[in-house]
Amino acid sequence: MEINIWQVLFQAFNFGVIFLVLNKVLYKPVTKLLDDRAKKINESMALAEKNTKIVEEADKLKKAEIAKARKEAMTIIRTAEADAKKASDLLIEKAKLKAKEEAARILANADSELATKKKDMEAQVVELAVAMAQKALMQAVTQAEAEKITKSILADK
Amino acid sequence: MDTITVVSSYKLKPAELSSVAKIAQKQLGSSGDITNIVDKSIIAGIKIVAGGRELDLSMHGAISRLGTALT
Repeated sequence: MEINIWQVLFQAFNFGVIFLVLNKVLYKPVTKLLDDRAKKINESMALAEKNTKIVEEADKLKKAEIAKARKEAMTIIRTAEADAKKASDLLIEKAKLKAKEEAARILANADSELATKKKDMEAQVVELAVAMAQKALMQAVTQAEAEKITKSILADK
Repeated sequence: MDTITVVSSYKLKPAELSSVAKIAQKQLGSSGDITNIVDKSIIAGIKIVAGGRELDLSMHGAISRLGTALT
């Protein structure tokens, strides 16, 4: 078997031409396409990572805001509870005072009424005693005694 | 001259009416005819009414005054 140098050279030339053509037409665009794609993927990955960080930050912020809002709400609730208790205590105190005043007024009225009734009763008792004494004396004093008493009164005056 | 009314539990004797006239003059400043009214409810003593004024010297009046003083 003999080696045909011209054929080898021709084949080498053909290979070179095909290589150049393929390199120009196929390899570079494909490489560029792959590079672009890789770049795009990297960019997307970076963007995704960035977005993840943003989301995580937002989540942290949201949790912090919720915690702050809860704390504020608790403070508001405690303040409102304390205010309500104060108002309630004040109302109870006022009601007690009013009840005490009312009881004192009723007691004073009862005392006054009792004193009036007692006075009325005493007056009635005296009136009755006077009437009884007059009636008893009217029956007990004889005319002779009446004359004697009258004479004595006339003598004194 | 006033009309003097004297109330007593029995009919007064002239001497007693004379005393009444003196008392009316002295205590009430009245003088005049005396009318004697008998009212047993005054028990004893007399009540003189003259010139719109009254002098109660009866036992009934004394008890009434005592009752008034007690109330």
